[in-house]
Amino acid sequence: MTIDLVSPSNRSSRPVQVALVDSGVDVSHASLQRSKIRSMHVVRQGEGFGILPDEPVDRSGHGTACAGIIQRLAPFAEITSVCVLSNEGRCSRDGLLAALRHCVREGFDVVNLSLGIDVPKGAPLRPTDYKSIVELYEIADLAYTAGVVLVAAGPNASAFRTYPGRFKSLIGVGRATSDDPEFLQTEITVDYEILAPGNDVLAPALGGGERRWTGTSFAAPHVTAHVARLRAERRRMSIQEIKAALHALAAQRFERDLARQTAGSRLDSTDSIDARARSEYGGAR
Amino acid sequence: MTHPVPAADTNRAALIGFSSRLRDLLATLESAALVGQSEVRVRGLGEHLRFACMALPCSEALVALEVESLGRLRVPVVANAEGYRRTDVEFFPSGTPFAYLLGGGSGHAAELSPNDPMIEALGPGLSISPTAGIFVPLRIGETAIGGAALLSDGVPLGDKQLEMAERLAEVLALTVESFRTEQMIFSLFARALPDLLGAEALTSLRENLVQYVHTLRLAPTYKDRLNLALAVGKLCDRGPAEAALCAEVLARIDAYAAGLGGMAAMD
Repeated sequence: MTIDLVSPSNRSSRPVQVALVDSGVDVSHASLQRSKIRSMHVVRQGEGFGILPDEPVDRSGHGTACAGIIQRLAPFAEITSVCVLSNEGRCSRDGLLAALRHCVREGFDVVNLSLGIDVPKGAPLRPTDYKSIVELYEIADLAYTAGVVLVAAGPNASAFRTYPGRFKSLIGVGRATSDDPEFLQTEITVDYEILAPGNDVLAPALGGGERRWTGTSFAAPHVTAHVARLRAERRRMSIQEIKAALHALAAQRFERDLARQTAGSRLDSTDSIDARARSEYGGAR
Repeated sequence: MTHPVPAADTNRAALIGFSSRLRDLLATLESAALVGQSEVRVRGLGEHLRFACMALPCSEALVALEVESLGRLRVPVVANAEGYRRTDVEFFPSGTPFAYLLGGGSGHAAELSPNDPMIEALGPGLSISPTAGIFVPLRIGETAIGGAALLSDGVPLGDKQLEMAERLAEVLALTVESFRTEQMIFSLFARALPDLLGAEALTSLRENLVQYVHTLRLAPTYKDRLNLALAVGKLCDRGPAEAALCAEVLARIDAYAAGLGGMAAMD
């Protein structure tokens, strides 16, 4: 199956809008200086939260790495960094929920979320866990009905349940080992549905340069970038269509790799026959 | 017109000194118990981290726990494969991987460079210059209370180590949680004590305490003290006769204590 992404009737002149809910982005980083990045942050206002313009800084270093991955694969996208950490590097669960509600309300094309709630599978859920998970679930449903694609990181360890990454109304991402940033692999599990590179990923480091990172939170931006590409080509794709397209891309990839492997093993096989023949026939062949 | 003081109130008044002494005694016990628990906690965390250094290719490992009132993180212990040591390193999470972890971020591994700004704040507590690190959150329920860092000086850390580090973080968090539960019980008891010994003890605190005393794994000595306080509180609660009995027993205890010399001035 081949995915035809180019459908002129569906194309839009508006740049694809990506929200990155994370620790902020250091836009002065050399890898990001050509990017269109807007900085916002969550601020407590009385009993609630507001989303206000922010200094273009990263309060941990994680968001800059994620922005670099998205920018590398989807350089056309406009990224809005929604920083959920305070200046002291703190974040409340309610602040995170407020950030997500904002992203849905603003109608971003795709939202990258590498934050969430990890609960050990062996441990019972607590009342506060239930409350937060239900709120996340409702926001994920709102996003689904609003056509906002949420891409969320799955767990790093199989012993954890990660929310919202395991909700089926969004795209949960696990990590794979691949040097190819385009790599995708379908793997439908309770925890996630697709794998992307998340081991030893080269991405920007706070303070300059790049470093290798490992974690599902670096796999999610790869999928976010793929979704941004899909939305750039066909703006009106529904979330089901986007999911189907991602899995089709993964299938194409699998078939291509399989073909390469088969061709490679044929070559290997021929080489070994040649070697055996040379050995058996004293190299007279 | 003044009314005569009821006999029951007079009896209760005799208990005021005792209440005060009992509170002092319990405060002392709490302090001693907390110091003891703190030692146990550091040892528990240190041993877990040491085992991590033995099981994984990391040279040093540490935990950073939030100091809630100050907005800082404190590193109580750093370990390597040989053992562990206490530290008093404190830092603000901003600019470090711990900020992301406290914000709900999941564990991740990263290459590190010499004098890496990402771990600059940890420098005073470390004896190595790490080239790779794994940072995992410590969570109690949905709330991140800090993080753990596993650091290597030469061997890359990645995929396989990350999964193990996440499991380690779960164990570390349980150790911290156990300690915090004890702290919470002490605090609850300190708050409840005046009610228990007061004239109007018509609250549910006593029942709550009884429940906590029996269901939590309190140290036997402390549990005995709690039970004693509960018994006295209950007795005082019953009425004038019981209060009089308490006053009499306490007077005898005072006399006995006075006979010992240095402990006479307990009031």
